[in-house]
Amino acid sequence: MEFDWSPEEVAYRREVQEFLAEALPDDWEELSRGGPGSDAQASFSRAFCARLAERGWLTQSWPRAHGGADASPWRHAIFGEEMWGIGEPRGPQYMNVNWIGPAIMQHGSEEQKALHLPKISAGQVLWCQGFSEPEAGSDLVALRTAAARDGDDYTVNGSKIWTSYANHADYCFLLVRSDPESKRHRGISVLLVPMDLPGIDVREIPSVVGDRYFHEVFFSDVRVPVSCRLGPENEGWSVVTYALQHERVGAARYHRAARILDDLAEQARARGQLGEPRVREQLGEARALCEAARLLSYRVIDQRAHGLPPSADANVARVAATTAEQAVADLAVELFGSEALVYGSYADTRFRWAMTAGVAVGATEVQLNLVASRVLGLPRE
Amino acid sequence: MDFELAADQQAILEAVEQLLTRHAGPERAIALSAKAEYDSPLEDALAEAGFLDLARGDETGPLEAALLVEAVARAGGVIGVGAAALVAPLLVDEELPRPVALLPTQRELPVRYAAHARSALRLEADGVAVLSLEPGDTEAVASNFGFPMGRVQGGRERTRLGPEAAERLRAWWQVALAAELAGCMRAALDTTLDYVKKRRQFGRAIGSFQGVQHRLAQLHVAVEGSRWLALEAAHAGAPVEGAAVAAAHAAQAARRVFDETHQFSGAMGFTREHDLHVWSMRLQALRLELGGAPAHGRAVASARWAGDA
Amino acid sequence: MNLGFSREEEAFRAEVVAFLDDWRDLDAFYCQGHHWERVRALFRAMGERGWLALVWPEEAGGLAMPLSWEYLLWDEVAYARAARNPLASGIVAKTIIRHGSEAQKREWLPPIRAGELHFSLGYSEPEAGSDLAAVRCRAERRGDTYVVTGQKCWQSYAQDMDCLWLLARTGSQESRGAGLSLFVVPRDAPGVRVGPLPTLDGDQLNEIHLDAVEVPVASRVGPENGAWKIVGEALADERHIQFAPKRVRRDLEEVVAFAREHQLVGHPHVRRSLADLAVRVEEAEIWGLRVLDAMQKGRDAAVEAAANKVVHTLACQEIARAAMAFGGPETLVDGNRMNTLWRQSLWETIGGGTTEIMRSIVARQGLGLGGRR
Repeated sequence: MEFDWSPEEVAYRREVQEFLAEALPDDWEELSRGGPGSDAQASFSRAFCARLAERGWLTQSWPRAHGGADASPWRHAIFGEEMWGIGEPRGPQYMNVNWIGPAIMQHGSEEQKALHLPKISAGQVLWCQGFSEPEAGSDLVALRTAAARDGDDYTVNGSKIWTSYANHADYCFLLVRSDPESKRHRGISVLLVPMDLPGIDVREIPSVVGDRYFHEVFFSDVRVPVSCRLGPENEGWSVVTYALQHERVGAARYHRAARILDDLAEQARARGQLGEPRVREQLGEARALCEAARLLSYRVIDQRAHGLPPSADANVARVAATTAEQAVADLAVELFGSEALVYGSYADTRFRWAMTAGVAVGATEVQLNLVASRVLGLPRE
Repeated sequence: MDFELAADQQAILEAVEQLLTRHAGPERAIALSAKAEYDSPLEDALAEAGFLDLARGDETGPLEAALLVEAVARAGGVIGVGAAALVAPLLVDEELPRPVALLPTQRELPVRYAAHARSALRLEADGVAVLSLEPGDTEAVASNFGFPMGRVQGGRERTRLGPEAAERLRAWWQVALAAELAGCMRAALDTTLDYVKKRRQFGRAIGSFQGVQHRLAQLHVAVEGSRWLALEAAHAGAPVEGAAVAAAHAAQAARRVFDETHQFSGAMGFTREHDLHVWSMRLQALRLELGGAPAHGRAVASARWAGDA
Repeated sequence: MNLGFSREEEAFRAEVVAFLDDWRDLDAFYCQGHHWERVRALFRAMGERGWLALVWPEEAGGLAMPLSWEYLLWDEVAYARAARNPLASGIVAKTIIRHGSEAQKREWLPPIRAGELHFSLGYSEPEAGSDLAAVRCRAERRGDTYVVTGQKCWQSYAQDMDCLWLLARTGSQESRGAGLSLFVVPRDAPGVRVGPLPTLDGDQLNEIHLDAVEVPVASRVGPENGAWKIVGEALADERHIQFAPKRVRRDLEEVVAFAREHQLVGHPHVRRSLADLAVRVEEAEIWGLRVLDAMQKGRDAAVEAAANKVVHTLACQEIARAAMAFGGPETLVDGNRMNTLWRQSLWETIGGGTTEIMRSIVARQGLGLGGRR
């Protein structure tokens, strides 16, 4: 057991920071205000990720066989921290690298690999995640969007909701029910759907989190070739499980929370609040939560570095990150008082950002269920 | 970076656990607490096996010592293991007569193990006073929080260390505190998990209610966080910020662990017949040490965002 | 809407306050067992004034006053820390008045009214805490007597009380709540053994073993197997005095006094913390009054009472916790007043229905969210 970064890792982090200082435009702060789903960031990400690809960084954690560099999970984590800490200039493309690509590597056909992996590696493609439905939120297995087999196509009908980035996406990682008689986990398939197919309609859901953040995606008799199915028919749940295990540690949310907290402390100093004991207590306690989330995430990365199979410790890390983000967001609102109510103000954007933290990627409740059953061994009803 | 125990660390921990199975445990803690006694046999056994020297060993260091502190706390050991195994060896070169007590600046406050201590480290505004204590220098006070408590009224100053040492003492004390809290929290949580799996109400185990499960899962996240923060801070040599972060997190978490484990253990956990109090009452005492979570939180802020106004 | 009390009510309150002045030495709200003889004397003195039968009907020997009088009485007694409202004049007497035989009324009501006869509750068991319908203690009918065998636990004050108010199974185990009956059992009846369970607050709960205890059929209150409804009703009768808000107010006053004494009130975080707690006190008072109001209007106050219990008991714990935080390690010493407050508050969210059970009531009955418990 030991907790030091190697000299190479320290040097790599510095290299990434230097690159970011040079590669990000002067108005990045303004540009990134709308979050990774905004128009500005989505289009910025295409150019930016292409540069990352040139440097060999974008998919460095992938195996060499798929165009990666077999970089260690730790190197990938350092890279992720620096990206999240500065507002995620990869936009939605972090998903591609973290879990969509790996899912295709694990479960895809040779054609699918040949089609998708080079695009992702080049930083030129945007994906969205078609999981939640109006009647299947945190309880994903209640999903109803139907894919009826018709010769070499599926006919897809239904709708997905809360889909971030759908307005920009080239492809959708879509969960469908391919066996209409099936229940729950059985009978689900994954389709890799081009978003320009006829019959797909994307509508924005006005939200408190930010413009263009959430979308509803409607599928009306969309004909999706069977060759777009990822993995065996009706056994998509294992594909999703695999993907989510990668997703849960992919995003260095704790790092973003910590950077925002640093920012908050500076704002408090500028406003003459940093001397107040209570402000200091709260800042310190929030910092402790960010640090705990960091270490719990590191433990999961460490398991991956040791080649261990994914475990529910990933869910533990995710809950810790959510807790830290919420503490930071609450503190932002408390420190700024009524100013936080002004739309677009500093505290307002921070608060709205954190509101989504506990809901995205399987509500915290789902994570807690998994921790309770898999880690604590608590009985089901 | 490596979160797995190395083979030698694993071996140390196993040997410690083995020793603790023989020399510690809730039953023994309850018996000793009833008489407000110090577990000198346990401390001697640990010393004899060399475990109190881990912090300054050739092949071992503060991380191994912190692992020991956590394990002893988990086993309900009634000894000042944080002071003996972690704080004292890292502050003073000479081996101090045991038990060692840690004293805050404010005089006459009740502190753990004071009545049994033969040495003490006192945090002063401008340094650290290393004290030798005779029986007449201390006074026992009655308390019900799982530790024999006392006040130090006298003592002979053996040495005095400079201002730098005050910062070191505070930081190592925070790390030791965090490790002890982490051990007590883990044991309290495990005891509660056993209870909710067995205890049935309304025809089912109370641990099968989702509302109960979620809260216990959150405790697990909090306890794990505290543990890793304590270990990392020990490994890093108790940096001022890291030590305060570990203590702040643990003291915060301890409050929730106390509340929730008692709530789920119901009337049973409220009686002295159930083991929960061995650890829960200690959590309450440890939570107040060194000013408690608010003070640790302020210390984090001072270290990280220096220059207050 | 009128959130105040009438002139008559205020006059009664003043009378109670004046009465309690003679009992200032008594500090028995916590650890009643340590002061039992003096508490019994207090109850006798209250009995002389008819105050233990304030709201009983006249034909039962009561004063037939509105519930608000009872509320005010026990609110002030709680504030004075003199005692907690006794089981006998409440749950026991009100149940006997409603369901008891004439003989039972003649035998038990007068000594209860006089503060001479005291009861402890005999509901909970090792396997039936929150889930009372799981009670196993068995009462076997043999002619004119029941033979009662079983175990009860977590009974407050049972070591000092004269009788048990015992819930026992007369039907099958599967009949759950529909197979239970209520009995009055003298604590000194042959086969009854009361043993202490030391608790973390320095007090004790008790476990009660009943080994073939013979109980006359005449000591069964209400119909055989008919206890479930009666137990529920009896609980409902007491909702307005179960959690007296002035207890919370007094707790906070003690903490404020402690903070002043130790020159802590100048600290901004102490001030803020005390201000937050003052809000909790007001909240507890409003909920106490809402329970009273609902009951005076003849409504079932189950939801208000559940919410009140949650608000009240969590406020107690927050106040006590702040007290420990202000006082620091000094509060770890036995006998420290803040230590006492803290230890006493531990039990509050568990005893008398856990916070979780109370919240379930609010969710199901108050918010209409269905589902099981």
